[in-house]
Amino acid sequence: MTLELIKLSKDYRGSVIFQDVSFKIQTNDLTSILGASGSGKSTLLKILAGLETASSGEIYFRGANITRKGPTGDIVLVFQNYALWPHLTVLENVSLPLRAKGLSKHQSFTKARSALTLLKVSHLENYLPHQISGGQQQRVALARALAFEPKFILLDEPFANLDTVLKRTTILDIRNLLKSLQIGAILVSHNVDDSLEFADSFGVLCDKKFYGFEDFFFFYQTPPSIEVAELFGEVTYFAAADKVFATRPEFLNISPNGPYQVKEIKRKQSNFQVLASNGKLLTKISLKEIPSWLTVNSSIDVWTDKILLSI
Amino acid sequence: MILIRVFFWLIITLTCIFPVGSFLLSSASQLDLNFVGIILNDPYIKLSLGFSLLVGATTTLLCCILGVVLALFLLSVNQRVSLILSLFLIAASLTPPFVGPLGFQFLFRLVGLQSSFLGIIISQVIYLCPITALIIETSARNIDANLISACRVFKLSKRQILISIIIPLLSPAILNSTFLVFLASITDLASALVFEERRMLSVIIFNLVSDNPNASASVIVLALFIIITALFLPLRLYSSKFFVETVTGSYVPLQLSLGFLTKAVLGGFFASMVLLNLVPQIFVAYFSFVDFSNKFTLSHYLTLANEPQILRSLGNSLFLAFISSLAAIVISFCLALNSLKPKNSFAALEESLSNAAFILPSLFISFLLISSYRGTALDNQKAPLLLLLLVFIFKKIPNGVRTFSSVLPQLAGDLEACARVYKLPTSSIWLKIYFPLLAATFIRKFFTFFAISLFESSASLLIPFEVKYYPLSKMVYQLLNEPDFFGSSCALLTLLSVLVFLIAPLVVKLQKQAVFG
Repeated sequence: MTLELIKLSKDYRGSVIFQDVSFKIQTNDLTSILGASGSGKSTLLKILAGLETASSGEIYFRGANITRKGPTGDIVLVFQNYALWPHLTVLENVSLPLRAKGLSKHQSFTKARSALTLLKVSHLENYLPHQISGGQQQRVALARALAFEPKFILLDEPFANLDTVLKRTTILDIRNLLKSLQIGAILVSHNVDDSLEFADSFGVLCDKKFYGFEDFFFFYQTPPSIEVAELFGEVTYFAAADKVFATRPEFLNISPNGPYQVKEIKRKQSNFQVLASNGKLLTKISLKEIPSWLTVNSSIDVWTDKILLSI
Repeated sequence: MILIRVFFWLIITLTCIFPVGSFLLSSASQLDLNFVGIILNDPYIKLSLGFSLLVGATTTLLCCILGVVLALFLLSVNQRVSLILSLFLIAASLTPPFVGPLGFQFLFRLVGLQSSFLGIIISQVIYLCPITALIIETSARNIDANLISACRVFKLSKRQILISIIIPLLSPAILNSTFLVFLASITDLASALVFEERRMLSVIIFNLVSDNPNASASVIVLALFIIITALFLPLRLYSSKFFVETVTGSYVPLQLSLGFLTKAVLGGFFASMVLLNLVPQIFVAYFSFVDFSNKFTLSHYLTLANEPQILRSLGNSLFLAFISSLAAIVISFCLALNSLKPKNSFAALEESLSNAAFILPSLFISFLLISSYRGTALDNQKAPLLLLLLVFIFKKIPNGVRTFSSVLPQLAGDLEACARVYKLPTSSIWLKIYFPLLAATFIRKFFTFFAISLFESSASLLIPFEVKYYPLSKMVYQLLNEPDFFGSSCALLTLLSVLVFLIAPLVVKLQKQAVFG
């Protein structure tokens, strides 16, 4: 049971949004696509949901070609703004798609209530969407999707409007729920932390191209471009042998006496961040501990054996 | 600011509190239940009430259905086509008075049809339907398109999307426009006068005022007022209960995707509406260019230029339209600005009063004003012009307040805070931020108010004027009743229609340019 994209491309009014996107995942995989704003992530999800059509390429879901079939009902999309119908109560929001599916009023309400209970928002069934919080709206939107019994779920940055603490618990809850129900999902996000919490494998939409799906360390340690590297963590630059290299601050090592002068040392969460300059480049170095010889204005040498890219 | 609010209170007192108060007091003292019973048992008045309500209900129903159809069609076409179509709707909603009824009267004569009921209904529908469509379309544009996408994701059928999502979300706008149309329909004087329909209550009131406002007229006004209030209050309660935030987070404006056949049918309706609107204009234009023997002539236009009374009436109306539009914009802007501050009971009262004009049609206000000021110091030669000016300003305040109230919070939030962070003086905030951002909204509102005032007919016809103070509508009606000047009145109406077609593109352009609202 797979979801497979073959050379999928989309252009809009002559400009290319993305081209030749190809991947194949299992329909119970929890995956994430990362990309900067405007990279075409949401467009890709809308094409998968059947809301937009691809300019070229094919989409196969569980063996069937769904490229130009419109919404199939097997794949549902949870919108970034949740798209809860504002004039319907929480219960009606969840039950309306079930009614459209042909279920009786009683059956649809029973099923909707089970989904709301699963998402821990059953006590809100008589509220209108604007009367509940963003986190609760997000759960209702997911309950609506799950009650519909889809085979696959697409999540369009649904955690973007939640605060950090609520976001963590919600992501974990949803991940565990989808795992237990054996429903796969693609989460699109520009936030690597959200993706890391949710997904097992990752894809990237960058410069109109798709990379993936791979595990986190692939993109962290061997990114295909600087833009992709920056999506997966902090990047710093250092000079050696008249060349400039990109690497991660924690990949860098230091030793006393060298062309770099320490400008600043500061605490950053559990590590220390050292800012050093060689007159042309300001390099960030992440250290677990500060050696006794390292002080501001001391001269150091910077080196690493894990180079991401040579500039 | 305080000065303008004092001016608002003066207008409200003169046009609403004093006339309504004195009317209710005098009604309470003059009318006992027996008298009301006698009037309401009068078969003629009962017939008139029934006829007027039938006209109102039929026009409202037709406008509601056609308005939704036209709005859905506007939402299904691309933005450029939608702008061109809304240009037509705006032009149609600003049609000069008498053009529709006159044109259909000619058409009916041509085909040998005699039905004042049908004539009044068609004349009202072609004028009021575009207004309904514009109100509904504006409301629909504010619906987040993702709500419809969500329906498609969950495989709701087009019928289910329309019935379960779109119509309920549009229902506040539909109800509000329904109420406005009903009000305009039962108090429409121009169509009823052209078709000489004496059963219309507006005509009865008009005929009674020509003599002396008496108790019978008071009872009719009271009856209409009760009907309207009874309709208005539940509607307002429902609308306010129903209004909900439709957008959270990112927002995509609605664009409907309809099948070819549906689009073709809706397009056919739209084309029929365009045709129905153009037919009377063509007839009126034709009669402005022919003499009694149907030969081409420009004499009617020359008569217009050589007749000082006509030019004076044009001047009167231009003056009234200009001053009333400007005053209404300034007052409503200040009231909207004031509504941003935390509300106390005085501000709430002010807000309620600024909305009073919604339930008081021009015909009623004029009638109440005439009744209240007869025999007072204001009862002099120039007073009717002042009364008309007050009516014009009063009627426009709710619309202006609503527009600016929806625009100002967007300015007063982060934009103003940002300007204050950078220490911009208040004068700079107004000159460099508020006014440039609001300019298009101001000018668009001004032109809309100006055109509405210029062509207003109910109050202009009802208030008794000396000939030299005649406003345009009154002059056109006077000319229509004089066979020698019939062609000239058609010429005047044709020129006014041309003026509308010049103003309408400007309004559409400004609507497009408006940053907010």
